[in-house]
Amino acid sequence: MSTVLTSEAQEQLNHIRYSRDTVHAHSPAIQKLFNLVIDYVDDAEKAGKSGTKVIWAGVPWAMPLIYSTGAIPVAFSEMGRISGQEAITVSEDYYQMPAETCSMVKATAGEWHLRKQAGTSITRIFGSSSGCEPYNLAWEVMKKEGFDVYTSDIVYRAPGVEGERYEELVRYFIDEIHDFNEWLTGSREIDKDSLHREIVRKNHLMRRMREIMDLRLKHPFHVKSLGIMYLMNGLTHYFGKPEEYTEVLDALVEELSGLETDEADRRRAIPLIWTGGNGQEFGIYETIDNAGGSLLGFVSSPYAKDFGEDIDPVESVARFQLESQMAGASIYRRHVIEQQVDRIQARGLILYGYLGCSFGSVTREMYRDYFHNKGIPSINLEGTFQVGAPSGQLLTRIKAFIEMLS
Amino acid sequence: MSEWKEIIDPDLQSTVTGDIAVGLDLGSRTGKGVLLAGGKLYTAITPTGVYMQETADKLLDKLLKQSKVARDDIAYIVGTGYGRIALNFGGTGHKIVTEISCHAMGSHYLNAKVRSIVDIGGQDSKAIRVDPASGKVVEFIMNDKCAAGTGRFLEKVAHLLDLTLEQLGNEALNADAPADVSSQCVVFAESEVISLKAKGVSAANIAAGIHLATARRVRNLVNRIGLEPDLVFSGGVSNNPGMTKALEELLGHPISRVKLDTIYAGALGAAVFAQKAASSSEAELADFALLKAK
Repeated sequence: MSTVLTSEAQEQLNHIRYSRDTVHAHSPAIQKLFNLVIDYVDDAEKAGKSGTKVIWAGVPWAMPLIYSTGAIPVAFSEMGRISGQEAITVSEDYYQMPAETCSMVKATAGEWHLRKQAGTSITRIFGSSSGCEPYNLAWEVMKKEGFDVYTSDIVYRAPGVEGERYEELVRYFIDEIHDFNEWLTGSREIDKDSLHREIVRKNHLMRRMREIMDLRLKHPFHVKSLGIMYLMNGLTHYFGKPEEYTEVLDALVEELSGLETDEADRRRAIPLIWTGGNGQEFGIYETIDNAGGSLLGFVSSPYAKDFGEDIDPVESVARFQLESQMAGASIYRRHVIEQQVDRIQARGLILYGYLGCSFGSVTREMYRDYFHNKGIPSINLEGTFQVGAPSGQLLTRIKAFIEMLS
Repeated sequence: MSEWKEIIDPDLQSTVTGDIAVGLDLGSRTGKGVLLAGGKLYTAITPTGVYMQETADKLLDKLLKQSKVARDDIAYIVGTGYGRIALNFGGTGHKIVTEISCHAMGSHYLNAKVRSIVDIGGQDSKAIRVDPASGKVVEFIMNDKCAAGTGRFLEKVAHLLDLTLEQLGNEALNADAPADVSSQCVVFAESEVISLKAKGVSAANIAAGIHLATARRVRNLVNRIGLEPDLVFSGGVSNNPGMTKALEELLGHPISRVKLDTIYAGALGAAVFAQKAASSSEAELADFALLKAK
């Protein structure tokens, strides 16, 4: 679908190519990762045209299940990279979304519209969250556009929910998973052997990610910030190619293990943690690198703990979600940030959110206060979900923040 | 031109070296420069042009003419400000430091006790907390989402009142009943000013009201990082007496007077960083020479 790629998105692609060919010229593993990034959506469109079931999916827990059915998920997180101001304009002018609407919602809705006009082969959308009002608006709009839209309910585990209340949540969530499977395949019956294989794969990948993040403490500049962002994104959706993504992580472990520790690099690196959304304003990542920052912690896709392999795989998916940082309350993610602060001896946090996301802005303030009181400085950044050059002031903030920590 | 000993805080004078160093602060509206050489501190100012390198070169020429220093004798240049990204000074050692760090360091060298800085520039405003032991930034916050609370906003209002920017600040001091300007948005404030003019409110009262509205935005930034004395007001708007008065009133705290126009604080901080960089470069070269000798 490169026919709908705007010049802004082409520029962003060029930046990825630059990072692949120049910044990461030393790392075949990261070069392969960037190839997966570049080809993801185009290849998914091609797969859809040739008869493979492909869906837009914004629900991390569902990815192993989607793969277990033979379908390919195209994650919403990748839509930011291919959509630009044109998509935003569609949402604001054609759909009459208020300008202050979350940039993620506007970018995805506008991009779907543009793709529909261009004859996309991916016409089914799986979204989560009946709690995000702007997305509920987008789902209704997309239904009118002719997309087959399905949303699952949020299963929110409030802090302190244990015992029978927790088990009730697990049962409810299992029911939701079967409902989703019915929409995806036409049957509530889940192929448990296949799902189990996907869980084993996911566990392997999460273990690999843990190894990579440990090895990076010795080699903080081997993988630069943009590479880390995409490595983490891939842990959710594998860029539509699970085997190739697995090869990337395996190769990267081997690459990092074979390096001699550079003490000067270790001393020079300013350990940082990134959490929140992953912006598509790539200049931000470059600024972090150039200022001597290293994203040794990255809190997005969970990887600290495995899925249970010795229980029913559907139950395993449910329990993994409800016992992870994605179970609802922001305090769960805060715990993970805190663990990473200790692990990497972080000097600062980068709290990133999308313009217009009121949920995210409240959470970031809570994190800021909490870590500020613990003596960990943070910077609160707001950027766009879609591609675009970061403003000079945004880059000034990041550079000044890292100067402050150095 | 002044003797730097008359300007730099006595507690920090021992840290100033003999290296000839230049700091260039390229703001969105004006470029400012400071050159330290032979015990003297030279300043230069020029409107920021379309091409930042040209503005930087112009500032440098002005400084070199005043000081009679040869270009090749400059040990190091530090660029900062909105236009810092693209600067290049050929063979002269140079680097880029953000204006946030430079305003902190510059203010620190003007008053070693400073802990809080309000920096209002042409296109953004900032509140910065500084470590008085080092001049390093401890915390900062920046308003860049809205033109209200910036020099550009004041410029716009001055134009509406048929005043220059300088006149606007002085006019505000003559107010007897500052107008209540409620809008926090430059676009709506503009129509509010027109409406106030139509009602016959004096230019002085409108000017004072506008300064107070701007200061309220800045107060929120300062409250966020916590105000600790001493407080310095820097940036392109800092020599506006109307804004100084409004800030002091709203913050309930005096702004420290220093011995240099604080629109140059960022450039001074850059020059201090340039001296430090020159010293460390010399130290590195000496180490290298020592290593080779071995």
